[in-house]
Amino acid sequence: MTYLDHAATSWPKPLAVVEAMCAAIERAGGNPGRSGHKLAMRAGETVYACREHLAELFGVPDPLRICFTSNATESLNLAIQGFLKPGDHAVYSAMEHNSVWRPLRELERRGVRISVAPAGPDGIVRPESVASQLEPNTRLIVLIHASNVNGALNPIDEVGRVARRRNIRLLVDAAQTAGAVPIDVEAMNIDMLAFPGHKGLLGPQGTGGLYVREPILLEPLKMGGTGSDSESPLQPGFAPDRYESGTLNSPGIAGLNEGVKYLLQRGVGEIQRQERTLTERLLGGLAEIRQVHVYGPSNLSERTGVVSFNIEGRDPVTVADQLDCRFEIACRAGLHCAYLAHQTQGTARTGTVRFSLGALSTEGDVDVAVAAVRTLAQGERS
Amino acid sequence: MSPQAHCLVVYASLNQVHRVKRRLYQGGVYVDMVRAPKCLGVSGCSFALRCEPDLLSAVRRASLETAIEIRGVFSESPAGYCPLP
Repeated sequence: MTYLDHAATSWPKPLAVVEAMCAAIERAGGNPGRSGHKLAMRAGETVYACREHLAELFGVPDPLRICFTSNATESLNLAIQGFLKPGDHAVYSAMEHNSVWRPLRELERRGVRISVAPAGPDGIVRPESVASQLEPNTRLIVLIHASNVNGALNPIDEVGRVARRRNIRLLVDAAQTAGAVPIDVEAMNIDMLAFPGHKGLLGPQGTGGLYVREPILLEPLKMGGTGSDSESPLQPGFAPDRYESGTLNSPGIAGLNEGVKYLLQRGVGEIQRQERTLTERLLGGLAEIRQVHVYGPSNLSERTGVVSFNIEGRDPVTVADQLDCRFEIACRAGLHCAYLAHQTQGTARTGTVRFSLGALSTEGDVDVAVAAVRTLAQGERS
Repeated sequence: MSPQAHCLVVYASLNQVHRVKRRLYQGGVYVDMVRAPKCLGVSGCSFALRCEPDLLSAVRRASLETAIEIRGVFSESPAGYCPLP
């Protein structure tokens, strides 16, 4: 199997991730933050260790400002729905995923005004584009760090400076960059960072998180038991308890903890360098196939290892099926839950085939993929 | 306080206890975590750090440094619990 679907979820996971999940169930299977027995306390220790490692990875000064969720979509919903109120204005980009677009459009029905910052033809959203949409009552900018459609990498630090100058909060969707691109929330002026645990962070599915800068206090998405202030009818006013009602996915978080430890040990910068080398190889290989059209930035410093393309005259879903069935290559085709981004790059009608690289991808994976695309594009049409 | 007594420093949640405990650990101070007894009447489902009396000032300092509110401080002895200022 050649796995090139890391933008959907990373696979395989480091062995330590699998082992930690088994150990969490077998030897630390209590409910963290609830009971006081050894199994529960061990589970709590692992959960806190994961918070600390995530804080180290993202440059977060206080680990308690990171709350766990089930995925980046939940994190984005918590941030967007928990922050914006009727009468507020928010700016988002023309490259956003449906997990940003849909909650914002829903809030629009409830009295929040929203504006779209256009992207360039390469899919990059420039700070000037964001600034052009700001209004006196703009409270939030929501921006995807890197496109899940074509890999375009946005200049978050520049947008962060624009936001900070205007006292506007910046929410970053790091679904494609957490663990793949270095992120420092302080240096980049990020107020809220939504991330999945199961993609670049190498954890299992069902894990994710949200960083919320002090002193932002969001309205919680869900309410209930938090293991704190139990006599109060109201949600706690402090993080992360305010946002973490119900039993946490502690086996998943134990796996995520190992994924993050792997990244800290290897270094996200090193992973990014390797992915760039592989991306260059992939782009170069695809560029040699006349029938293939590749989307997104050509400059490697302005993109990630998410590469979208089409073969002239071929349906992308059919191409992906053939890559799977004939060549054992796993990738994703279609609209990638990001209709806006496809509208922006002119592929809303057709969709694209998407190869996405990960921390464990190899040159061999890339060469197999390019050869298969060549066969499909040339072999069968000649 | 009797020489055998321990101190219980109560916080709202396990998350907060972990944060303070880790700050202490980084300074070479080791303390235990326990569920806070309900009879203390501080806050339901609370957790606490249990320490020797001579470490209490370090615990208070770590709480201050991490901006975590202490919900109550008690001496703990076989005779029971007694609130401390």
